Formats: sequence, structure tokens, C-alpha cells
Amino acid sequence: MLKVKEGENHKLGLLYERYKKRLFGFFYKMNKDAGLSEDLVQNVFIRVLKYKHTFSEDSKFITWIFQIARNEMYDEFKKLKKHQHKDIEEVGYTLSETKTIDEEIVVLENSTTLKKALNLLPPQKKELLVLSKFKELKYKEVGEIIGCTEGNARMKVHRALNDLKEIFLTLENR
Amino acid sequence: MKYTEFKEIIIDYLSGNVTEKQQQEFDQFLIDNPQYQKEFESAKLFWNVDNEEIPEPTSAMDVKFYTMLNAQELSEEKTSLLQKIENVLFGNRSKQLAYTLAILTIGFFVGNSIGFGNKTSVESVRVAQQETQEVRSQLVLTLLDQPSANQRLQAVSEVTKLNTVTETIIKALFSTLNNDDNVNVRLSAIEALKNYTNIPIVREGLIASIIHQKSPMVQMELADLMVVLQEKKAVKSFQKLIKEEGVNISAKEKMEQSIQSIL
Repeated sequence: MLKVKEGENHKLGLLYERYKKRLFGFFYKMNKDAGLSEDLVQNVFIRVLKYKHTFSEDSKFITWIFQIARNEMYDEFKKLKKHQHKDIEEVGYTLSETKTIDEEIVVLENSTTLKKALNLLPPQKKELLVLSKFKELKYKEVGEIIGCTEGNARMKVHRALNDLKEIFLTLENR
Repeated sequence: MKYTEFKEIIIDYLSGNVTEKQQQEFDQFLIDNPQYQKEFESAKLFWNVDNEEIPEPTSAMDVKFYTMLNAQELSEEKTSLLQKIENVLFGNRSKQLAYTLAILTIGFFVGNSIGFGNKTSVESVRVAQQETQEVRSQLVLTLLDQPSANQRLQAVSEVTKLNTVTETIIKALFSTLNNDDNVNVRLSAIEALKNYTNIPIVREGLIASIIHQKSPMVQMELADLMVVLQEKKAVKSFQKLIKEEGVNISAKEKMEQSIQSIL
């Protein structure tokens, strides 16, 4: 990336080959739209060229590019805001107090409810789960991407998974 | 490991945020306490909920990306070409020197028009001219060092504007004539040196450089010049050069003609 920053733009091809699948996977998991995800990957690299001067030697490229990817994604969300958030706001999930999750698990395997629950998870929480699944992204890197400390990132990931469980239970109890 | 600790780090374990030691302890805890296996499986299920098949991005994405990259490179090349041209014309160091020259010239005229009485004005003209010459000499030397052939050509043409040349400039011109990679620059060095053939070291330098020349263009140019100068000392050098292998036939013929005309 430093070479790209120095003006060797053709080196961007290497970075593209290295990161295209991960970025595509990130977008696809977030929006489930392959065509849109491809466009977003393209936009990320346009932004990389545009903002290459902001990349600093001290930061990891993967966290920097995911920061860009996130901005790209949220800009896209803004465009689609009406459709996206309506669903989420309508849910208003609450935790069932009596049942424990583990009891539910038996029937969970083939359930589409879990996927539904995931779709209802707010994007800010969903992205935490998606990001922390990348092997290279530990809590520290996730924190750098979303702009918080390592400990805070850990807490957020824990919360996101708990919220997913809660949404799932709400759906199951309906 | 205790149950509370186990519960606490399930997600860290799944997300690969545990140390090797923690991981071993975690695995051991599950072996020792199989009753918690279910809880772990549950967490894992939630954790892996989005591990569905992700489609491969299509080749259209690659095509788009590389088209964008090429377009970007082309546009940058255009700008950098503009910058290059600008640099050739107004390269940083030469720009400063050119400004200095301009200011001195303006100063000279302003001073002249205001007039400080004849004596002072004659004196100041002389000083100004001398300074202009010095700056110009400096400009020549600076430009001759530039990596761009255009700038070196510019340097040689600056020499012709000098009223008097210093030994340093002569040396620099010879160094250009004998060592410059670019034929045009070497040819223009000969052009510049032609004006100073009344100086003995220039004539000697020109003769000495004959033998170093590999380019037929330069060899022919020197052959012509030696005829004009009727320089008998050059004959030996030409004869030696003609005998060398790989010398261009036209250049050989030209040199032989020149030898005939000199003798």
C-alpha cells in the first residue's frame, strides 16, 4: 500500500487480488446482494486511490481498508435507509425470561428462524459479528475499524451475539 | 477453569481471541465437563449462523476494477507528463536561477533609467552585466547536471548567450561532449564549443575528444569542424578512428574526405 501511496497505482492490483474476496464476503453477508456487493468492492478501491494519502505506515492495511468498506456500506445504507430500518424498528424484540436458549437449540438446526433473526439484527451489530469472523481481525483490529478500544470491541461482539440470541427467542415465542 | 470463566470466554474462543493456553484449558474443560458441551454447541450455532455459502464475485467485478485502474493510471500519466514538461521548462533550480536573471535584468534597466550620473551608471552597468554573466554561468553548470536531456540542451544553448566563458564552463562542455549519453546534447556541445576555437585549449580538447566519439553523427560533425579549422593535429586521431572496428561507413568516408581537405 505504501507503494500505491507513493504513486505506483498499478500495485493496487495486488491489493485488489488479495482483499477482493474478503471485502465481497463482508458486503455480501451484510446485504445479501451479490451485484451490489461487487459495486461496493469497486467503490472501496476507488476510495483507496482517492484517500491513499491518509494511509499511515503505522496502521494495518486490513483495518484501514475495512474502515473504508464500512463507510462505503453505511453510505449505501443511507440510500436504502427507508427499506432497511423499517423492518428492524418494527421488531422491538424482548427477551423471553422463562425459557433458556439451550432448550431451544434442539430444534434450531434446520430452522430458518435463526437466519431471520440475523436479518433483524441491526447492521451495526451484524457487522461486528461479520468482522470478528475474519481470522486476521482480532478484537483489537475490530476496535480499530469501528473506532473503539479492544475491550470495548470485545464487549460489543459479546452483546451482538447475545442480542442475536434474544431476537431468535422472541421470534420463536411468537 | 471454572464454569463462569468458561461461559465468559465462549465467544472469545469462537472468534479466535484466546491465547493458546486459554484454548487448551477451554478444550480440557469441555472434556472434563461434557454437560456443558450443549451450551457450547448452542453458542457455536449462533456464531456460525451466517456461515452460508458466499457466492464467488463474478469476473465482471475484475473487469470493472482493472478498467478503473487503467483509466486512473492514464489520467495520472497525463498530469505527470504536464508536470514533466513544466519541470523541463521551469525545473526548480533552473526556475530560481531564471528568476534571478530576470530580476537582475529588470534591476539593470530600472537602475539605468533612473540614472545615477554617468560614472556610477557605467559602473553599475558593468557590475550588473558581470552579475548576469555569473548567474548565467551558474545556470549552465546547474542545467548540465540535470538528468533530463532537454535541460542539458538548454544548458548548452545558454552558453552561446555568454559574452565570455570561464574555464569551468569549457571543462563542463568537454565533459558533456565526451560523456553525455545523448547524441543531440553532444552535438550541441560541439556547436557551443565552435565559438571558442580561438582559445587553444578548446582546439586541443576538440582534437582529443575525436577518439572518444562512438556516434557517427558526432564523428562527422567533428570532421567538418576540423576542416573549417584546418587542424592538422586532428589527422592522426581521425586515422586512428578510421582503423577502429565498427565505425560507420559514411562516417569513415567523411573522415577520409576531411583528412584529404586538411592535408
